[in-house]
Amino acid sequence: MSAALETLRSCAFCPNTCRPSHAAQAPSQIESQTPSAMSLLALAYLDSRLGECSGVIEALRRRDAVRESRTHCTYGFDIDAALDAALAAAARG
Amino acid sequence: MPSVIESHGAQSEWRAEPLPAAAAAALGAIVGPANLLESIADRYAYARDRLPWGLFQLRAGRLPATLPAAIVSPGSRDELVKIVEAANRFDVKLIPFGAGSGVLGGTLPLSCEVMVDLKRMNRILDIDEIDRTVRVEAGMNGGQFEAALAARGYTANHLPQSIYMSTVGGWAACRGAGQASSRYGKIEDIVIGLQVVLPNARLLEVRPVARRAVGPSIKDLMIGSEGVFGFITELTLRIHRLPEYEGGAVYAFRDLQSGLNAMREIVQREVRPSVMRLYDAPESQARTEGIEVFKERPILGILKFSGPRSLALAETALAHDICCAHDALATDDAPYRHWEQTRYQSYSIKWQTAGYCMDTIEVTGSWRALPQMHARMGEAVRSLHPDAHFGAHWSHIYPEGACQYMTVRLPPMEHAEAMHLHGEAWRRLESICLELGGSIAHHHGVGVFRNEWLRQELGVGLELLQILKDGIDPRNLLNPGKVGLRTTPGAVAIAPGDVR
Repeated sequence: MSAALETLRSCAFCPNTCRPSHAAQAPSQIESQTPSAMSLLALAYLDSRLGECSGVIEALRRRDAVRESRTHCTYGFDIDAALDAALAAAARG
Repeated sequence: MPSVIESHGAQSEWRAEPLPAAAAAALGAIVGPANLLESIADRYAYARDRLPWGLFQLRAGRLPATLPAAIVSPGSRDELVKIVEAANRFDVKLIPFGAGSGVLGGTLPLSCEVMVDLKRMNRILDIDEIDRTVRVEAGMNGGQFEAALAARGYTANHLPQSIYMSTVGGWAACRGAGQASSRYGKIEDIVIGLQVVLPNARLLEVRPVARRAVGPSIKDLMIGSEGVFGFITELTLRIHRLPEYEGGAVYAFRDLQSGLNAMREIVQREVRPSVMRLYDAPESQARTEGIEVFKERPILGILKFSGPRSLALAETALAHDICCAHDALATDDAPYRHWEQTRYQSYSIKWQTAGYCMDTIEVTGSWRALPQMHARMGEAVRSLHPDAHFGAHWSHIYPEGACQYMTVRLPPMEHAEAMHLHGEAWRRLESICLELGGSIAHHHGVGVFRNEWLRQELGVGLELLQILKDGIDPRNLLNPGKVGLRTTPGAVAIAPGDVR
């Protein structure tokens, strides 16, 4: 398994200890933009459990909360980079 | 027929009924289109909480229950009232959702309900420095809440391990406990008032006063209701000045009984450390490696004292004398420092990524029952599988008893077998707890995963709750099938041991 996929698998089941890094004043507070949810969605997409018509591509573009979490991850992950790497690797086949 | 996600094999055939168009239009008009999510991807992200059984299903490529029909995010109580009114008009079922950190499946959609994400309702409304209270909206993140209080010199002293991944409303909804519960109590002791939107969209207010004698406690019907009786929208909590002094102490006990006796004596002699933690041998070993004294005295106890310096130092001295009287030795404070550094981390990447099935189960036992509870429960788990792990600690300590918090871990194995053993572990532990007169849940709540034992604990009390539910929610619109209450026709059933 690639390092990016391994990171996503670790993050996907984490309860988001990084949550406070996303500002309370931010207009969007949805669960599906959290790093853990984005990792879960990416894995489901890469495993072909979610197809493109599910809206997963659009969902994976909502990166604000993921980027804010970069320096707040308890485990030192950069989920933004892991998402990019895993999706790029999949696109290359 | 339920609609299915585009087919990629049998695992993709999840129940995913969408929200009817008229209901979607009504909800969208209330919150604005940006705050109504209907894509399959968004719904997939809300199809779980942190119920470990659900995690095991997802890890195996399966869905715990159904997809929600949609997600709606109100920005105010007024919007929430309109959402509930619309739900009544269109017969739409709703599930209150905070941060989804519950571990009993309390927010899992069992019949394509609509999730109501409350995280936009996330402001502190008022800090009253005379009464020492804070009024806060339910969707505020716990870590942000404590940080905002700290900036004013206060704390609510509700400090759960999940503080950064949970909301204030979620703490109340599941009747949670923080790590300082031994001094400051559980959330039901800290919340003094609240506001609720009932299933018929009427507002309920429990006035924030210190004590009352106006009939049975309405507040306590809502704290722990997990969204079945209404949406908690606002809470008033007791606050304290940030402690003038904080200090820790570490003790090594010869055996578990000595440690339990010391913890009991500390609280029964009215000493109140802010944190009291006693670990059994497996959990102690993991935290004391390389510290010589634990070879002879293998049981770890950690105490923390907080508050006015003179009071905390006096309590430190009293507790020290009690521990020494039980043949404990004060030792290296490394385990205390490590606990402080990691106290808000609850995720075990090591076991998760290696495919283990790990779960935690917390029960309440009396001091008289706890030794037997620990011995019998440990044996019950270890006899499931040669590599099954059982460890326990006691960190919510009261004069009458304590919470026994257990970690169960099963090694990687075939999914169906793992689910069978995992379910069997739950059955054995909860059954022993009931047999020994305990409570099946100390602070994680009931959700859906504990339904089968709730009737045994509450007896006719559960019938009272059902009568109340039927009275205020006759169409079972709010979080059906949770807290042991009636589910809806066609809903997915979840029980320990199930395999998706």
